[in-house]
Amino acid sequence: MSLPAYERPTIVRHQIGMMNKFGRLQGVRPQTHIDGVAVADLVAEHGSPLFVFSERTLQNRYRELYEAFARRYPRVRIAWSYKTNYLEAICRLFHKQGAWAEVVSPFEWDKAIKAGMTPDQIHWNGPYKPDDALERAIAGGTLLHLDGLDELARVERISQRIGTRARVAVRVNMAIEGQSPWSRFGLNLESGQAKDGIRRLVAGGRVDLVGIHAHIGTFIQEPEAYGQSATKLAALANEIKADHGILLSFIDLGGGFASRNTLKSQYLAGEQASPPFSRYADAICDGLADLDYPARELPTLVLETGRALVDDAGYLISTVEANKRLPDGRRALVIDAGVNLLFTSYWYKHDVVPAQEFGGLLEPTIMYGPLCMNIDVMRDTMQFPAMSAGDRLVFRNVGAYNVTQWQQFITLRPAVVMVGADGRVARIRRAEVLDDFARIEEVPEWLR
Amino acid sequence: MKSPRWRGARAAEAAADAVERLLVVYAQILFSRSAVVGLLLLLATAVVPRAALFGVVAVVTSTVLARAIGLERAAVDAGAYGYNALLLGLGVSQSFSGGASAVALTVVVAAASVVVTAGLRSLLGVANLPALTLPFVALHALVLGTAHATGAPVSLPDLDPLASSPLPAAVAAFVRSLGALFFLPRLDAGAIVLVALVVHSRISTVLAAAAFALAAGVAHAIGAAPDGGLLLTLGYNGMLTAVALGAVWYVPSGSSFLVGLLGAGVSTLVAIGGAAALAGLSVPIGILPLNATVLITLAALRRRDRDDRPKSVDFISGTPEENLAYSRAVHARFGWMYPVALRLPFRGTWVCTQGVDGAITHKADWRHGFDFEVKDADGSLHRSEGLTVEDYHSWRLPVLAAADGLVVEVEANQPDNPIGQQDLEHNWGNYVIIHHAEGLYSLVAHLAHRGVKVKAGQAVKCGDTLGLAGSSGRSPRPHLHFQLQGGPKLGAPTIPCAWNEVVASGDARGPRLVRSATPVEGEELRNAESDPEIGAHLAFVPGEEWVFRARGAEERIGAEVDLYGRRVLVSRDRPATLFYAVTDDAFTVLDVVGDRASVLYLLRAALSRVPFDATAGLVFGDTLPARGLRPWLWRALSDVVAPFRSKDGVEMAYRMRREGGLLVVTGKSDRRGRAGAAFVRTRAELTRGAGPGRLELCVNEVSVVAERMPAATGSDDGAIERRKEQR
Repeated sequence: MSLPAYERPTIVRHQIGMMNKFGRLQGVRPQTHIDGVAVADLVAEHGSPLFVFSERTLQNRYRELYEAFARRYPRVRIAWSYKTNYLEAICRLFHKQGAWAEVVSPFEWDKAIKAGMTPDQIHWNGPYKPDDALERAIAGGTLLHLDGLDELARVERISQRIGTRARVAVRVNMAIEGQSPWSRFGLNLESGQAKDGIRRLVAGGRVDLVGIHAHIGTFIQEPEAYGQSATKLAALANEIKADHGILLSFIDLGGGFASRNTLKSQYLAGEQASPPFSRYADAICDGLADLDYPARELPTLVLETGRALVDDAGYLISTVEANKRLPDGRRALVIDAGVNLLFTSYWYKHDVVPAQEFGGLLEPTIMYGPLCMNIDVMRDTMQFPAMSAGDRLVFRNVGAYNVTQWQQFITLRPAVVMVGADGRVARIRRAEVLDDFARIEEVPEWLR
Repeated sequence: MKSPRWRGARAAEAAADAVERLLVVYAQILFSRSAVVGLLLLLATAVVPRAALFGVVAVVTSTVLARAIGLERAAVDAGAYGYNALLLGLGVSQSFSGGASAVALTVVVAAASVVVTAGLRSLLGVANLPALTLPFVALHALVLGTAHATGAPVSLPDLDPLASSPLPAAVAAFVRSLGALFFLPRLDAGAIVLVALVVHSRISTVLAAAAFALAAGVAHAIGAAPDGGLLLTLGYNGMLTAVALGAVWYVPSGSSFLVGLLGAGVSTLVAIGGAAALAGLSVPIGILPLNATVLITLAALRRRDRDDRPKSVDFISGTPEENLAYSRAVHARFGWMYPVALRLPFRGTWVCTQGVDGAITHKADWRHGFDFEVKDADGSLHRSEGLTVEDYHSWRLPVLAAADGLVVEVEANQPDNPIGQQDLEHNWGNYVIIHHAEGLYSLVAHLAHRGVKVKAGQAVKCGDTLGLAGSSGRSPRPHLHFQLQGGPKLGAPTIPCAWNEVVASGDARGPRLVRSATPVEGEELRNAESDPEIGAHLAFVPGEEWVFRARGAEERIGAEVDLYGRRVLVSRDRPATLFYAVTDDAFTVLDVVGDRASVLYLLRAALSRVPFDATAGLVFGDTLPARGLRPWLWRALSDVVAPFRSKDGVEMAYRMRREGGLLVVTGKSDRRGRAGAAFVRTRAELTRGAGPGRLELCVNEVSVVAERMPAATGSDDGAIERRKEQR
């Protein structure tokens, strides 16, 4: 016979049961298992804090994204955005599903090769492409998304030197109604800069123009913004075809689809506010319907959706270290994972729940990380049940950006595990140990 | 200045060529094109040297004349103008004594046969019927009639089949009747003809034997107790009729055997009845019953609605065994139900929610209907509660044309129903009917209100968007209904449907490419996709040349486009050619002919068919002809039963994956061999733009590997030198 869960006594100011500034009042449900594996077992085996990824969710989200577009447009390719999460197991999982790689640095390019990509299955974006790495990429047929004319000149020079024509795409930026402009990447469309650049590229005659690319922003919850982007890219592709006789092999709509997370500025929960993939697909494919191409030669639609694919497959398990009461009456929890691990705490109201059954009332609670820094707030005040030291918490939807942007700051970084679709658990990154630093640090002789 | 040695070589080559042409004429009598079979038949006639001499004179005469007139060269070379002359020559040699005068007669009738053959080929060719041996029948009757009128002595050969023989009477009669085809009703000649027939075709041999027994049985049963001569006549007419219908003009099968043997029976009756009628004219009935029966049967069966059971040989024919293998391979590999390939009417993966003979509406005349919807990862057809049409995943997805065609009827103004309600007044809701081919129409129904994108009279291509999926008509929730029908009217009865190049998924076996699929309820399907990256690995450029090392010898393979515009790979070192096709969707080896030791046979097995669908883990099947994989004796025995087996091929399951810069295609047969491993295993490595690298074929644990050799820089110069020399 199991005892009922201990209920810590709480004193709560009486409130009328309606929406208030703390959000919904539907209460909190515990999450004791991740894909059928007990949180307690995971922690016992791999320690706390612990990042956990669900293979089944990754597969399902990938299929959902791919099919949403494939049901509406004949040729679709997903290029896995490495910066969102470049753990090799995650990359390989997506590559196995059919994704190519989207990288933004020589380091990521090398990682993609290591994860089994051939150079010609890599889209290389971003403003930074040093010469030596460019040379390898051009020789291997990597798709280079040009950020500007200086880069074009360098790519032409290297192409000519090594005798291989680079395959390039031109990245453009554009004004989208209701969105703040992202004008620092690529060539501007409205000012004519993009068309001038393309004319210059074609006139140079040393590289092959195979695609165009736009990325209108990040965490965009309005599909119609993509509709505008797709319409403008389709018009640009039609002009390139008319002016230069070039049939593009792909049009890259970038990424930026919203995940199920809730931005701090947002009132509605992300689960309700973020549109399903099918609505993005409707808008984009409607926009691309303007393409004036022969049906069999339509360009491949490339998507670089990172966040929306991986976010809800990631969990962070953390342990309550201490309870405190703040002077304003709020409860505070000190937990063993901080903003050094969960970078996204800066901009999301993370969905966090207890990992075990609980009782009692909810009260306003704030969660602090273990860092001796004032900024280390893991979750702004929310209605949460009382916790005891040693209890576990599960942060959900943390798959994107955290395991790439996390810092080795004050503490070492924990292990990452994956729960396989068949229920097996495998470690995909071990916890850091002090020796890892001993290996890369050097002490000058005079300080020994 | 040509050297004498060179000139000698040319002369020898020309002579060999001429001899082969001569032999091919002999082979024609048994519907064969093989010089070996021809040689055996020439030897059969040589048991009577006079017959051999007259035969050769007749063939040479006809060939020289046909060439001189400038008749169709290919047909002349294939012997089509010679075999009637050959039969006439043999007939004259056995019916007339005398030397020079008989030879002169042979030359005259051989020459006449060329003109008569050409005329009949023109006349019968209009009806697409063969001339068979009608020229011989007519001219032979004329010759004998003339001899009779002028009183010239005509000696008929001894036709008593029961004359002293060590064999049982029936067998002796069968063998002699084979010899009688060449006017030599003798055991020795007949035995050699039998050997030639077995070498040519085991299927034909079985048919011939059965037909002879039948002819003898029929003659006996109707009480026309034949004398020796008539039995032989009935025998060879029956045998050739059975072979012609059962194995030559129709693809060998149980039904072709039935038609062949019925034909043999009919020609027996014609021979019995006709012989008596012609006896008054002192003209033997000879081979007329064969000609009459075969021509009438061929013409009659053309009036069938469907060319099936027996299926006519409407392709370039080979031996009956080859025709059977080819026809089977085409059916197994491409499996088109109609003259057009059908693609699924949607993009991406959908699930079939009601199939043929479905529980709800796909019944009676409308049993061949298909409903499709979209399912998410959780198996649900909708988001949230599914209370509005917008919640359904299939709502307003594009619906496509299944094949090229012409839009014949469109309805676009029916409203979409709220969930759970149906419009029984307008069952089909918004729909589009397309005419694809004679008697082949497709219908898509329940499209969204204002979601129809085409107009009646508009031509559409396969894959064009017809409209958006909706929930109009008898549709309680958004879904797509598709059916094929025989007529253009709304509500016309449905006809069976199978889609081509379909990827089935959604079960534990993983995604697999099906060449012809009729979906069942619950099956998840999509069209095969086409990734140009895969295609780039199989784009062989005409003019390319590769060198392989296999079994210790080097073999050069060149990619070419031949005179007929077909893509071929030709071995430079062995007489072998591989025919292939490349479409937007797949690389397909159509056939390979020639020396079985060529690397091309490895290539054929390892790259039989490669779809350009890059889906990881996709399994794609193909059927390899099993005949070539068998030892020769086993092959000959299996030919006898092949027409009666439902299929005869090695089913292969292929997979491909990228390994660094390589595309690796591996195959395994479903059939197990020794040690429980797959009976056939293949592996091919391809480099983008550089053709195949390593090829491996393993049959029953015996492995053959062809390694690609680096192209030697010197060899190109050599090739150029050779070309210069030829100029």
